[in-house]
Amino acid sequence: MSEKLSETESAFVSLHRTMVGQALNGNSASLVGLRQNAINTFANVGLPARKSEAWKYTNINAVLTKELAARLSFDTHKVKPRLVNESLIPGLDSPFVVVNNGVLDLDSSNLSNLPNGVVVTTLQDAAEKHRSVFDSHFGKYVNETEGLAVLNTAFVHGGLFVFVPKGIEVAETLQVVHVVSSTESSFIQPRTLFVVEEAASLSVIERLVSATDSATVSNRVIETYTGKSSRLSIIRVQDENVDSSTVTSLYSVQERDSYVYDLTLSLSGKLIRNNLNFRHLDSHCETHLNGFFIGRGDNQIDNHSIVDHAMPDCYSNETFKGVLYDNSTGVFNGKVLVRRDAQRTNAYQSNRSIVVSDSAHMYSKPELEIYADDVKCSHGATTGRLEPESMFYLQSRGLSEERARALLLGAFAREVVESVANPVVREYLTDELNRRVL
Amino acid sequence: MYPGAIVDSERRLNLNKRNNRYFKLEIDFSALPPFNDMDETKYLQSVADSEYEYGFVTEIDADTAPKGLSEDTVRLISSKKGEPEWMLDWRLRAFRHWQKLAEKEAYPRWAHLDYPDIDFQDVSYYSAPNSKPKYESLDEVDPELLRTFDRLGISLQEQKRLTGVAVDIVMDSVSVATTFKDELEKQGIIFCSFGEAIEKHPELVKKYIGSVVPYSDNFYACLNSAVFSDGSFCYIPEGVRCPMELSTYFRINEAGTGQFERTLIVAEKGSYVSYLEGCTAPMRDENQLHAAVVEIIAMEDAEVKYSTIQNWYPGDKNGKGGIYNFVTKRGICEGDNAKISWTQLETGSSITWKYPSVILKGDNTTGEFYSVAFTKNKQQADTGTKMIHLGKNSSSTIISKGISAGESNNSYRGLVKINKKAQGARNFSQCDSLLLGDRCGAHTFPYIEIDNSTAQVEHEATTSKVGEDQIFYCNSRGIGEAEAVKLIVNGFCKEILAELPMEFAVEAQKLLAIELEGSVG
Repeated sequence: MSEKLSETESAFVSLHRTMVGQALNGNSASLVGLRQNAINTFANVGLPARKSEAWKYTNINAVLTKELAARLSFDTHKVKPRLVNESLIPGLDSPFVVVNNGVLDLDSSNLSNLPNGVVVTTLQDAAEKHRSVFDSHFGKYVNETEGLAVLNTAFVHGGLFVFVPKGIEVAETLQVVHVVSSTESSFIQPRTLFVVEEAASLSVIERLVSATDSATVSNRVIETYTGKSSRLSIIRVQDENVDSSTVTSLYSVQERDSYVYDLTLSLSGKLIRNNLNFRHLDSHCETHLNGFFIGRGDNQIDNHSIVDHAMPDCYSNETFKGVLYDNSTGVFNGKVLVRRDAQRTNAYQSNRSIVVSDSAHMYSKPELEIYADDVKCSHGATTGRLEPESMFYLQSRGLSEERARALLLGAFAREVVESVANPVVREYLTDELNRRVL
Repeated sequence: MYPGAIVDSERRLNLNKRNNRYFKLEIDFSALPPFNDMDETKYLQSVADSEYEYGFVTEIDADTAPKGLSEDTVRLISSKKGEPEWMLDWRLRAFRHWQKLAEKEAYPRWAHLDYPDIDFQDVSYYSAPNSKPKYESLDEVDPELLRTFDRLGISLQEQKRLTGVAVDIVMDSVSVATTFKDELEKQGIIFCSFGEAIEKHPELVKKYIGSVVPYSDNFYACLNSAVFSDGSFCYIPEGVRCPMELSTYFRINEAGTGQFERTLIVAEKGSYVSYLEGCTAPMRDENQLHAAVVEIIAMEDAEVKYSTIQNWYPGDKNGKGGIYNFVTKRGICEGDNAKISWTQLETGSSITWKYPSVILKGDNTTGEFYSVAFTKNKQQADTGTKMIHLGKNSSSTIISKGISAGESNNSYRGLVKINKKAQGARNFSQCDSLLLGDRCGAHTFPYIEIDNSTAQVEHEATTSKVGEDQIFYCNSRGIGEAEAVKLIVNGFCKEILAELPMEFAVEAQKLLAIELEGSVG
């Protein structure tokens, strides 16, 4: 509870006050109420404090400057079709949507192949036309103590809403292209809600790209609900320009017998922070979360995950890997929380990083917090450079040093994407990582 | 240290030692304790069932400072101890810094511990046995005091005869008897109370005090620096291999007095010392605050092995009245090839906050941390280590075993930091947790910070309960469930206990067995 608001914080609170009368974010009563509650909560919790344990290694205040509120933007700029086309996975030929500065742009999207009943629309539209679904899920999974997440709710606008009703299995991968189109260094807050009802399935690949060279800041929130016996797979490729910063807060909840797959590839950006939260609402859930990050220049990638085993008989498997060049910094803070009576939990967590340069930094903090006894939980973390013996072996067989390194790093990265179910996507990502990891 | 067990182990040891001096080399740890020995089992059972029987108060007049902490308290402590000006100055500097910290309420709150705020003005900061004795022989010692030691199982007579261990007894912070001093003196080894060191070796104390743990290090270290009552000082000259294990027993005695021990160990170039520390404390309703500081300096090629068994009063079944144990322990491998090794068995205290650390400053230095932490009832432990690699090719090993039972919480918190200049540094960490019961918690919070690409750092941790198949295996061989759990826990901790010096290893195994009696099933 912050008694005194910082300049940035009070700027947001007063901005909210001036905007509340405007219809900018839609007129749905529930949305307006949520936004009001959110700004009140924000006034209490504030932005992440520099000294808080969760932000120990990432100086988010370098990004959350006092001009931030003034830079908050709802504008969208025309996105060139070429950028969209380049962002789609070649050969996948599946439905895609374009989200421009956080607002769904249906005109640039192609949803023709989606099964009947599946809804892809903006959050405002959902609040009006799919009210019961919207009301029972939107804003329900966000951690109210996370200042950035409630800030997103307070100014929620446009956004993306994807709803897969009971029993529908979406065979094709839905591609989401998130374009940051602002021409100046603006602040955007995209918001996404995925609802997959009972016995349904959905796979999504999100690609974050910049249409600009400006140093933009995005504060993204994704909420996902995976219903009973259903499957949800989300792949996020973070590939914005090297000056842009992104905080992504994912809140995933799962019902009984459900399956969630989440993969985060952080390829480019100045400061990337991922807050990945997974919670089990019922037993027999399965959660896979994977990530790969590449650090270059002065950039920083901070992956912060919590798998909350609140129910018995669930399974989770977490693998985060990374390669750090130049002066880059990698952070991994993963927590496996096994609550009291979440018996027979099986959780694994691993973090492996390769530090290439002497001025790169890696901070790893894999945590286990366990309150039940009949569990199998383990974690492992390794940090080091490429094995000199392996390099020597390959070189002694006639490979150049570059080629040997490429081979080893490619193999190191491949493990993370091997778990991707769709072969086209898997191949594409493998190639992409092979190319980018060097 | 669980006194009952000590008497027993000592008796046996003495017997064996008399018969065979090299008994310790032949012992098979896995054979201890004998599980089918009915008498022993009965004895252990009776000890486990009983309340903490050592919770008695020795009725000796103690010189106790009034409660509360102010500059006057610091001056009082210093003058009571007849300290020189420079020592008082240092204390006062620490106190002023502490005041600032206290004003800001800069208590370390990051640990996974839950306890009410401590009222630092409600603690008495000094207590010393009334007749400050400097005895040459035990006959001169207050008989009441001797009886206390007898009940604790630390029989001085026995100890004196026990070759290989010199004992510096600290009773409520003031050293009352030191044995084996003469023998050590011959080699130039200084092993005495901190007070005596200030008096006789001021240049050494001045040079090294606060050099590893500065008074500004953290809240509790700062408090200790201002009000430390006494402690031990140990100096091993160049090239000397200390011929015996140095050991100190701490005991909190006075009701409501905190104990603020300070230990300083300096190992000069090429020397070696193995240092032991163990504790018991009487039963108390009021929470007792303990904030100790241990500093170790190992010069080039020196090796220091520090072992401790901590078994202070953990509070009753509801966690009431246990010791609050906030300890800052740190060693520095100052010269090349130096080695510091921490081994600990933590079974006591209601709150344990303790991170024995090593700063690996020299090249090719080695740091080790071996720990078993056992918590039951409502005990809470947040313990681990910090390995700070500065020198080239420095290496560190961390092996931590946590066992939680009852409603206790047991956390490992460790930092491995590889500095930019620490080329070729190497670390291996392993943290295993064992859960005995479904109301307890086991947590792992490792921090791994790498600033050098040549570092090779590995960390692994597991959490599990005692396997049903393991129990079944034992059962099918006629070993009952409670015995089986003891056997398995002992196996779980074996690699740590094997690091303890012989006398401690025996005690440690017994202690664990006794602790388990009350918490299984």
